[in-house]
Amino acid sequence: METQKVDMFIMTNGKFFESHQVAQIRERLIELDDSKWSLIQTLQFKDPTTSLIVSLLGGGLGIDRFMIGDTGIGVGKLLTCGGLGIWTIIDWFMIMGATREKNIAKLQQAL
Amino acid sequence: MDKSFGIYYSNNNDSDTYLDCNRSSGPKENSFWRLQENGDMFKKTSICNTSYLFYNYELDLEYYKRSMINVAKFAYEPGEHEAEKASSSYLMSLIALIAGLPLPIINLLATLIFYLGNRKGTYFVRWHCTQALLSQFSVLFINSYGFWWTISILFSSQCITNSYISYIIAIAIFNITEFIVTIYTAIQTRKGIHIEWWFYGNLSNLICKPQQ
Repeated sequence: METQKVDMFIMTNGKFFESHQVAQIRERLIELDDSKWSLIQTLQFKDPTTSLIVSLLGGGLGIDRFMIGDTGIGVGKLLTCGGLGIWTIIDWFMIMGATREKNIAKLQQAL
Repeated sequence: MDKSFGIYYSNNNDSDTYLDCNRSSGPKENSFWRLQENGDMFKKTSICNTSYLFYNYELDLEYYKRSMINVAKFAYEPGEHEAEKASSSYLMSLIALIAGLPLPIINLLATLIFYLGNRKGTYFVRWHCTQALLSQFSVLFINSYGFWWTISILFSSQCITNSYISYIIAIAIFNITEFIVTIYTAIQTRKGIHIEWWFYGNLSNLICKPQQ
């Protein structure tokens, strides 16, 4: 794939991935065939900041986990009232990383 | 006779330097110091050519001049998000400690779950999660004893003794110290600076290994 296209993709979507993985993503995209560009362009990534806001407001009910696609964990949080509050606190700090991991898994699936 | 036998490395701060005898090759990075035997003295040279001489006993003094909190060189330069996650492990333990008061186990549970959640993370993140977890272990034992002692005084016929007061003062000092050190480490780790605590740092080095 063209370097210019890849750099544009990284500039637009870099915030959705872990910083230490961006270089690897760039390399993989450069090696990738041009035919996959349209597919990659259509991918919708979850914003880690939005997840954090949802976690702060609805973390006790597991809404943050439902939002990023962790339905099982979300149900667990919902039934335990956010792990009696402990799980909610932990997720305030973990949800951004979890969202970025989900985004990279989504990208890897597309590649 | 000049004989290179080890390298000092420092974060441009002499109180943080220590001798690493395992490194026998030359300096690799700007912050590294080369230590050379020069007669009965030692010459310490940095990459920027500022060198000075000092005696053998000074070397020993400097070797043991490791403070309770050390700024150490990590195996690699951590990324922005790695530093954020590592810093979060300390911050989260503090918030859990405050939220869980007066129960002494909430902070340990929170740190343990955070550690388990990051066990597949990068080496830097895992290392700092391990250090945060280990520090919470000792806090648990010390605080639990004080907590149940207080409960027994409140709900049974036991009375307040001098030993009880001294123990409460001791755990208050311990907790405040731990609190301050944790805040300092969280701030430094957020900047990507690797902080090793006395005892817990060595223990974390033994437990946490880089993934092959």
